[in-house]
Amino acid sequence: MKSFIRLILSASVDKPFWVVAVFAPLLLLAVTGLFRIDFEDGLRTMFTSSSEAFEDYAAYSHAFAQSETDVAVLVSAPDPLGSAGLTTLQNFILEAQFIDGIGGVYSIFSLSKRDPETGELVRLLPSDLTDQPALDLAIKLVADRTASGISLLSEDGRETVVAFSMGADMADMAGSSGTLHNLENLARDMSVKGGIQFAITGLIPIRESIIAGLKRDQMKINVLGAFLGFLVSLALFRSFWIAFINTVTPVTALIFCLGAFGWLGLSINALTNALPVLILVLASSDSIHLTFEIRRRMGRGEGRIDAIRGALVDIAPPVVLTSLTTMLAFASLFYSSSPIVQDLALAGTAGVFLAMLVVLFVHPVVFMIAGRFSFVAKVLPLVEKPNAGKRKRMFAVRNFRAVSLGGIALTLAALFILWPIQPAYRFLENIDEDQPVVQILQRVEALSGPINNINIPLTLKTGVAITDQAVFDDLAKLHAAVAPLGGIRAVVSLNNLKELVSDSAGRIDTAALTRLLEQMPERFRSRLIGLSGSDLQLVALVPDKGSQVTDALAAAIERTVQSLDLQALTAGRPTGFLVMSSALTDDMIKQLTISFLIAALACPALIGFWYRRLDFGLAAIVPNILPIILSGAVLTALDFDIQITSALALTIAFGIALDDSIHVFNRLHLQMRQDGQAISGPLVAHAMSQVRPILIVTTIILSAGLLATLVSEMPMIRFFGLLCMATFVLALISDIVLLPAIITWFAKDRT
Amino acid sequence: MSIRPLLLAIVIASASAFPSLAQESDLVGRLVGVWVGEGTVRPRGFDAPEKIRCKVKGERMADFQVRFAGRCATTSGAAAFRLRVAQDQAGQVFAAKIRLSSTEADVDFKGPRTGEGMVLAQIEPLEQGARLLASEILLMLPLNGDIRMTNDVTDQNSGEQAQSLDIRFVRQK
Repeated sequence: MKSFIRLILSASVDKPFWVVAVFAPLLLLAVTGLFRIDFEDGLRTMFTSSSEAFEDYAAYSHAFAQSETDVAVLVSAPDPLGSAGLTTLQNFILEAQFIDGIGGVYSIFSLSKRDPETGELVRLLPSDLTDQPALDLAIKLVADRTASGISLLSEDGRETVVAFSMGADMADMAGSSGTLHNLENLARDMSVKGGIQFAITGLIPIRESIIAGLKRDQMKINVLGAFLGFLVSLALFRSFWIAFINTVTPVTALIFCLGAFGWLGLSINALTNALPVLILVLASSDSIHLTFEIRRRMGRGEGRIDAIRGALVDIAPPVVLTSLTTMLAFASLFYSSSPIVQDLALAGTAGVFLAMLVVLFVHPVVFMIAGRFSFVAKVLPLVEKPNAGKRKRMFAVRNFRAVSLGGIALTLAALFILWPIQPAYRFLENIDEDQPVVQILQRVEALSGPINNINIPLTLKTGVAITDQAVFDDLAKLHAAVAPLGGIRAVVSLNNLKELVSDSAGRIDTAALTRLLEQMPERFRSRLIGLSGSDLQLVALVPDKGSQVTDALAAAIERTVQSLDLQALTAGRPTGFLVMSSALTDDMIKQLTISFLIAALACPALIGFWYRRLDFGLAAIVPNILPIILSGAVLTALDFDIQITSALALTIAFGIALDDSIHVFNRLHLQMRQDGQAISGPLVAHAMSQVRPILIVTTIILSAGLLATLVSEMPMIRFFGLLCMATFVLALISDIVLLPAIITWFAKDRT
Repeated sequence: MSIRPLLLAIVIASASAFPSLAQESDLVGRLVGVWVGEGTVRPRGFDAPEKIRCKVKGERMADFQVRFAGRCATTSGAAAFRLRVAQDQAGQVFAAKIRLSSTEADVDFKGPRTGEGMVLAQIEPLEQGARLLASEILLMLPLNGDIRMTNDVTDQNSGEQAQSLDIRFVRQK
């Protein structure tokens, strides 16, 4: 550590312009990295793992075309759709299919009926939309056509839904983005021309909306975070130049962090969205500790360069240690099997490391250069109040036993409240419900059924053909058993086509079935019959009510299906994105809990090892676990479930909350060295009196910076910010009340 | 006075007033350009008609050979469309291959000229479900006008006939 400090001193203090010469090109490189940053929602890769649930989902995804890539268009007219409205809709559907990437379409024009005389399938809607009597009759038939409670036309005839499926090669966001853009343009043009509104929604448009929000978030949150940090610094230090100095280093750290994102190929996603602002506030906090110490030393009469040297010798070790514990907290997330969480672990660890280097090398340089200007130099010295440094008694130190036991009791009580907390995940948790794309989705779901589903793969038994009557008998049994289960809006399978392909006796007309399947767009056909042609599936359309509800429903479906005596089909386990993500949310939260425990054990151990003091390591445990458990307990008491974001926030906040404790230990360590005394009650009280103001200031700065997350377009990022802020405030209280009490209890001399 | 300049003037004047012999005989060349077509189609020959829209591009592949390809959409789906048509030098006999992506096989046609167009008869009938269908395409290509394409199908087993396609293509600027 000493040689590292010597390196900083010889560079930043002795040759500040050399440091500028080295960092300036690096900064330029980082700026160019900003333009390489990739944005993605990360929701597809969040659950990738070798778990059984994911393996089931992967196998199912390869076997059947996915509805996740469907784009739904809600068509709404001021009057019931008639000749003119339907012509506009017809034109829209025809034009949309010339857009590259559109793989299929399903609309009221796709609905057919079986001609009782010829046995042929005929469209419900006539091709001649000017034949009003025929059209009126057809519209009535369309309105009456509901498949198990789902419809394509609203009761008042003013709204209808058109579903477009993306081509097989457009199944990911990157591929579908251009297609979606062109479809949106067409919808906008047709809305203007036709007097009918075409509004686009679906999982891909929602994911697009989330990604657009991420891009805006990065701009808003980081700029506002830096500005708020500056404002708070200005208010607390009452000096523009000190606030300015305190802002330069964090902004530089932020640029380095974002540049590293770009050059390392790390993307900004739903989880890493808040990381840059966290780096910003962490760098702010460390910079302020250095600023405070430099000013204090200058206030005592030390020269600028000596003050910077002395501050670095005293403050660089805790800055390194706080960075190491925060890096350790991030690194503990590598325990998670989720690629997106592992990306956060890598980005967080690398970002904190970079921020530490920037604070230690750049912040002294900023002081060295800014201090040369007289208008800055005159505001630097901090004149302490006359009573500062006086050794005062302290309530927590005087009542160390009661305070310590109270803290431990509070921790246990919070743990007791926290225990029943349940994991939760919803796809839509990353977007506000008042976003147009979500509101349109809700209208589409109200009309045509949920876009989420639980899928039951069905395999044909040996010697059975898809067109066999026994297959349809089994499907009918499955429909009858699954449809009544609570929470299921509709059940869809090949059985839904039965009435179109059965003769008057109810027997399957194999030729008619084959023709009907041939007429269906391939992307829609392969939802009912697997791509191999030998698998079927039963699709239960269900609203996304959260992972717990889905887990319970999937289990109920599995029990129901397994209890049936099927002759031609073998049913697999329920799967699909909803089932997989719900099942793995629980696993992910468990892994994040273990990550937290790793951090909770490793960080205090590192502190103990760093200071070669077992008592410091032990004393760090309860005061830092308490804020986390208390935050969790408050969530439970308020009937919140624990989302992945909350679990991550609490683990990361633990790593950051330790910073205050480390500065307390550092001050004690310095005080012991200065006084040549062992730890005692008065020494603890004195150290606390010195470090308390700066802990309050850094907590205010951290929280103020994180206030910027409240302007995020992602509800989970706002929640992440709130949770972190609450944890930091609780950690501050814990560090200035509970920590000194516990340290005093460990001390031999408690007087 | 030499008669040659006078003859030249007459030739030039007639060339500007009437289609040249080359234009007259190069019937397939009239497909060259960008076209949007609209009309009706019976996807399976004898089913109910549906509105169809096509966007195609005609490109010359060689002398007297043109590729007329693009995409056609109905309200129930879309498919790629490709017509390759060639003619003899005199513009009296035509051969064509038509491919729809759903069939993924070329269907061969040939036939003679009729006025400003051609009649293309399918060489081998195709099975379509229980029917054996033979098509006859009438492709009218008036000079500097819209293209009209119709397809009459005949069920070879029952003798039943229907017009399965009627599209008018308008040249796009």
